[in-house]
Amino acid sequence: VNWAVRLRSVTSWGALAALIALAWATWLPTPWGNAPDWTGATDVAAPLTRKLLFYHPALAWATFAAYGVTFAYSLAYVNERRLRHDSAAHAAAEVGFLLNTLALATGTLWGVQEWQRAGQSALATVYTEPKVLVVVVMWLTFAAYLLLRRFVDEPDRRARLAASFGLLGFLGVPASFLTSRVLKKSLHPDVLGAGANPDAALGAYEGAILGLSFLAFTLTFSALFLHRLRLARIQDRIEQLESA
Amino acid sequence: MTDATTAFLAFAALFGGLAAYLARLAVAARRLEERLERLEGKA
Repeated sequence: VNWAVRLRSVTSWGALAALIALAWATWLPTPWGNAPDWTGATDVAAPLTRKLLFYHPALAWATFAAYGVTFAYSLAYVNERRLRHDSAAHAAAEVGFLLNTLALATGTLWGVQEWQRAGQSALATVYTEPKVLVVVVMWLTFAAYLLLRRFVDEPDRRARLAASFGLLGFLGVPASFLTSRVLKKSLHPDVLGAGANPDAALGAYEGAILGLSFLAFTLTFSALFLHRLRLARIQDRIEQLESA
Repeated sequence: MTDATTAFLAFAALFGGLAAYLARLAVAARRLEERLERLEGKA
């Protein structure tokens, strides 16, 4: 099991280093350039909150990756009916739910500052945005996934139910990608593709920080998932010993 | 809410949330490891 320990250690230290480097580059000068600063830009309503550009999209990506892992393990459970797959799906869903919550919180605060629709309060503007609504439904589905696991005692029934929620919840990922592309009046910009993307106006240094943010949150998800998976495996072993 | 307050809240929520989850994992790990050691000691 040495490789698992090594992988966990490398991803954990890597995530920590990347997050520190990201926080540094977001707010302070580095040998490669000054921290991005939108103060004075006439089209930016909240220059400090705009720095969430280096956190919120990467958090959303890490959420999608986590729910993708839940989807894959849920599918594996449906095919093979092995509880080992169910506990791995649970580990990824728990980490995904945390990242999803953080993405929603940062997105809400950013949207409240930067989005405006005539005759609507800021919060109503954010929570009537199609992409946000899709993500809220996905968040609720995974909240139900985690809650139902507490209330169903029988392991196979719990795993079956959880797998159906895991598969269903993942549909939110392609749905959230599609909403802003299909509905042209969407306020939420696309991260990938040419459609109304403010990132396209970023300079090379800001682009590099954005890249670093995706690396940092991919490593953060990987490290948290590997730690949570280890706990799931210990729990599996305990249940094995107790039932023997 | 001002821009500075919003940015502060967002970053506090982000890093606070990650730190709280890490602390929760550490506590759960200690509890599970102790339980496993006890069970393996018995077996």
